[in-house]
Order: sequence, then C-alpha cells, then structure tokens
Amino acid sequence: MKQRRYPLLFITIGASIVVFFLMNLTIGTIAIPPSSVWNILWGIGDEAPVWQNIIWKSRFPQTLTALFAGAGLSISGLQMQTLFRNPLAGPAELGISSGASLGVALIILLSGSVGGVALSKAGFYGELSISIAAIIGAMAVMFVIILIAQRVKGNVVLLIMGVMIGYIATAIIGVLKFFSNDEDVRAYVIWGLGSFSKVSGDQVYTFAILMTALIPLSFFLMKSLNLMLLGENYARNLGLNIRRARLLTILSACILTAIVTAYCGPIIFLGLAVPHLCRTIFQSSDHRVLMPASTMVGASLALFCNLIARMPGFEGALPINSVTALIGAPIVIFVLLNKRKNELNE
Amino acid sequence: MKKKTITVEDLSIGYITKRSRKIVAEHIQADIFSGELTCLLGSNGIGKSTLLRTLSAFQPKLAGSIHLLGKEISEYSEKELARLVSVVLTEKTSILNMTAYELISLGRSPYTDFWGTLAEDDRAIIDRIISLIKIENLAPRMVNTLSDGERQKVMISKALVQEAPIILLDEPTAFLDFPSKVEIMQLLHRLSREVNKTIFLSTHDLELALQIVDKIWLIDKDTRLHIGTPEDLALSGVLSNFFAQKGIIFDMETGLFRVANRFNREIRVTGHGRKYAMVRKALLRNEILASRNAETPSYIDVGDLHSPILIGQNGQETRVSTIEELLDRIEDFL
Repeated sequence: MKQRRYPLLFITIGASIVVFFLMNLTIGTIAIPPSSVWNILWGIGDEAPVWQNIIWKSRFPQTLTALFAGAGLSISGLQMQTLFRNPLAGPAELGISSGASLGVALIILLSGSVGGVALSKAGFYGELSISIAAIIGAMAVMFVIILIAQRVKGNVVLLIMGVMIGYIATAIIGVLKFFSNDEDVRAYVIWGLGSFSKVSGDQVYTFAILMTALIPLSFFLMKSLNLMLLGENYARNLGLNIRRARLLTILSACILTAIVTAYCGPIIFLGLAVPHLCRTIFQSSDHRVLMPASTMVGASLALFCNLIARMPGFEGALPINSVTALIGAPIVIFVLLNKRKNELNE
Repeated sequence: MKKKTITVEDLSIGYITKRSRKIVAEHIQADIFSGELTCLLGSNGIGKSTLLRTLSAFQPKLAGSIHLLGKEISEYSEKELARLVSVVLTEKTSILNMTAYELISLGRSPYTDFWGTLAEDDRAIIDRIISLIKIENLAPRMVNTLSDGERQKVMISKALVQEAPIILLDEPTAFLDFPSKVEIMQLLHRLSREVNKTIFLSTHDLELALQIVDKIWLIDKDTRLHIGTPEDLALSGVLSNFFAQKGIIFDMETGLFRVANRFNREIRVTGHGRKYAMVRKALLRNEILASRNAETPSYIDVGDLHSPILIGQNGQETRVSTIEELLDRIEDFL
C-alpha cells in the first residue's frame, strides 16, 4: 500500500520540476510568453534576439544552476543527517561552507588590502579565482575533518569538531573584514548571501556536468547509509566497513557542498530542510527512496526559491539565502510539529 | 544436539589505548555449545560487555584465542563474520519512518546485492522468522511506536534473518517489564532448541536466568569465571558465595534467591495451604516471624480460603477478612 504511492509521488515531483523550470524561464522583469520560451529552447521560429539573449545568457544558466545546486545540497544534507544521526546536521555543519567562505574572504579581502587589486571588479577572472578559492577553502577543511575522522571514534565528537572549525573560520573572517576596505567587505558580504546567477557563460555547463557526474556517484552509498541508520555497532555486525563508509560519505557530502558553494556561495537551509521534507512526504527512512527523492525535491525547491527571488518587483532585490531561509525554516518547523502529532496519534 | 561452536582459550580481554593496556579479565577458558542457552552473569563493570564485544569482534582481544566453528576469529573477514555472528545490543535504536519489517529486512544485508534489494528467498526467510517469533502484527508498524519488549523481539528477528549460527545478546531483558522479560527469555530458550542456534546473552535478571537458561557463566568479584548448569553452580556454592550479602539468602530448596527478612517478634499462626503461606509472607515483611509452634500468647488462625482470619490474645478475639486488615490490627495483639 505504501509502496504503491511512490511512483505517483515521484511523477508529481518530476512534474513540479518541469513546471518550475519553465516558469523560471518565463517569469521575470521582462515577461516572455511560454510559447516563445518553448521556441527559443528548441531553436525554432524566430523570436526577438533580445529575448533569446535573456533566455540563453541569463535565465537558462541561472535556472540550471538552481536545479543542480538544490539537488547537490539536498543529497549532501541527507548524507550528513544519516551519518551523524542528527536531524540538525546539514552541509554547513562540518565547517565545509565556512571553509569555502574563509577561502573567498581571504582572496577578496586580502587582494584588496594587500595586493591593491579590487578582485570584486576583475570580471571573469575575478569570478574564477573566487570559485577556486572557495573550493580550496572547502577542501582544506574537508581534509582536516577526514584526518580527525580517522582518529576519533564517535560521530558526535566529529560533528562538534566541524562546528568548532566553522567558528574558527568565522573568527578569521571577522578579523579580515575589520582590516579591509568597505568595498571589498561589501563584495564579500554579497558573495555570502548566495546567488544562482553568479555563474556566467560556459562555467554553468562545467558546473552542470560536474554535478551530473557526482550526484549518481553518491547514490552508490545507499546501502551503507541504510545500515548506518541502525547505529555503528549494528552496521558493523552486518558486515559494513564503518571506517570506509564514513570516509566515503564525508567525501561525497563535502565535495558536493564545496562545488555548489564555489559556484553559488553558501546556500543555506536547502540541505537541512529537503531531507526532512522527503522523509515526511515519503514516510520512509530507506535511502533507496530518500536519495532520489532528495535529489528531485531539492531541485524543485531550489527552482521555486529562485522563482520567488526573481518575481517581478523583487528582481535583484531578494538574495537567494533570504528566500531559502524564509521557505526552509517553516518547512522544518512544520515537519517537526507534524512528526510530534503523528507520534502522539499512533 | 550439542555441538561446540565457540572455543575460548587463555583469553585476555580489555582495552588498549596509546599509553596503557587495561586488562579486564584474563586466562578465560571456556566453550559455548549450540542448542543451549548460555547466560553470562556478573556485577556491573566486571567485564560482561567487554567479553561480549570481544566475542563479536567489535574490539580486539589482548591475548589468547577465540575459535568460531573451528577457525580463529581474527582470520574471518567482516563479511564472513556478518554471516557467522549476529548481535542484539543494549543501545536503543531510535529510527523514525521505518517499519519493523524494513528493520528486520536490514538483517539480510550480508546477502543482498549492491543496492540492498531483497530477493524472493530473502523475503521468504524474513516471513519465516516473523512467523517463528510470532510478530506478524508488528511487522507493518513503525519502529518508533513499538514498546520496549516489542522492539526487542524485532531486534531478535533481525538477528535471526541474518542466519548466523551464533547469536550474542547484550542484556536483552534490560528496560523490559517483568512479563516481557520472561517472554524474551523463554523465546530465546525455545530458539536455542528449535533452530539449534548458539545463543549467548548477558543479563542482570538472575532470578529468571536461574530458571530458564541451560548454562551459566558467572564472573565473580575476582574476575574468575565459573561455568556450569544453574543447579551445579548452586550445589557447589558458587552462586551463594557470589551473592552472599546482607539481605539476600540463597534458598537451597528452590535453587533461587530470596530477600532475607529480618524479624524481631514472633507469633503463632495456625492454618495451612496458600492462605497460610501468604499470611506468613505478609507478617515476615513486617518483621514478624510466624510459625506453627511459636509459644506466644497471641495467635492467628488463618482458617480456610473463604472464612475470615481470627486474631486473638488472652481470650480477646477479632475477625478480619483481608490480610491488609490483619496487618492494620495486628499491633493491638502483640
């Protein structure tokens, strides 16, 4: 009975992705009718070059970024929550986002005050170096975490280490901000608000290809994650190599977060909220259901958030992180309240 | 059908840290047989869990050897061990949104494919175990809605679908109410007979263990291990020595322990049967020793099951209908 609902749910979520995707292309300060969007996408008819430009140069890359970022962060969040058996774990909790932020802060703020170059104004190369800095920062933290993971046994300790590394990174960023000029600080703050439209031109396709390769790879961990639900000892007794499984899970979650953060800045709340939403919608803890579900719901929700942020009138005014928080937080609250109610009813 | 499945020789257990080596127990020499329910007893912190963890390969042994089905434990790979030893642990696994059936089916993991898909025969085995443990009604329920006893049965089912010849349980009766404790112990006993598994558990429920299990391993205060049937250990005095302390008496007649009541007064009680025994028990709890041939001025006649109880002293008599009333009035007659 429960099994039979899954296909219907997946079809519904799939449909919502298509609808939100097209709405993202259609809606904006300049309204382009759906039929024209359709024609432009398939390269038929002759639509105004301005419209073609808007679609291909701005809206399509942004929509694609939102889609993949949402999917990647949600999987990362799901992996973290299962690994740490903690409903509050998310991509940010291991300090990965903070690491990326530290990398970006170092390059934006130091290039200004030490190098005398305003990186925020350096165009394409500026963007590229920011992405690279974010990845380096995230990876550096990841290696520290993995080193710690090899040494400590408990996952709680590891989680606390991650949070502490996050604090240290934030503290260093604070010091850097204090000594930087206003313009660079502003550039850094704007990066920190997150955006799906940072990625320009062909970089989007690199991002899309990376994510298309990495997301299916993370699916290989489904059986391990299911066993981890039982706790470390039971999982080990069922033949799971805990050390390896933990390492691979951290690696997978970190790489996904690092890449998304490099391209979009630290996007909050999606990674935390989507797994909760999926567990409630699908009434399951089985990762064979939750992994594809989180991928799809994450993509759908990110597209929806992007849509809200780009509503006519808001264009450029609403940072994506405000939208994800405004939508994500109520979802988490709703899910938790609903869970209590179910527990009482049963 | 007794068969030696676990052979332990000169085993030392404990913990190794970077700086030190803490030995919990050493020179353990023992065998565990299939088709027998073996129970590990000992006070808290004496090393019961350490021994179980060592036998299930969760932690390395410090010295000696453990042979599982004739092969040294450290020579088995993780995957092989998963098909050889299954465990039920004390830790409470709180999982939301998972049915008991799904949890039990995770026990098939050592046999399922890369994605963990259940094949036809996996499902057949799970169904067979579910009906063996008689939890058909629990299978579709969410794990977090189960009571402690129900959850324990589900975990035992999980261990059984793993189809390992050896099952180790760390205090499976902890946190359970009394009927559930009895049920779980009897279930384990039945399993050791019916499916010919080697079942080894630790417990604090001494009373139950003495009545149900086939073999007792008792670690005493000097971390020496005594092994034998409950009856043999009773006769050799090991059990009474172990629990020799104020307030507990080992009753040789029944082979069980009972609380030692102290008394400072006596009363003559006449009567017989169940009612006599109950009156005597109630009085003893109130530090009054009742006996048929006590020479006291006050006396009690319990009568038969349906008649009132008579209390008397120096020709003064009163009748009460319950033991509670008797206890309320007894002070006036002593």
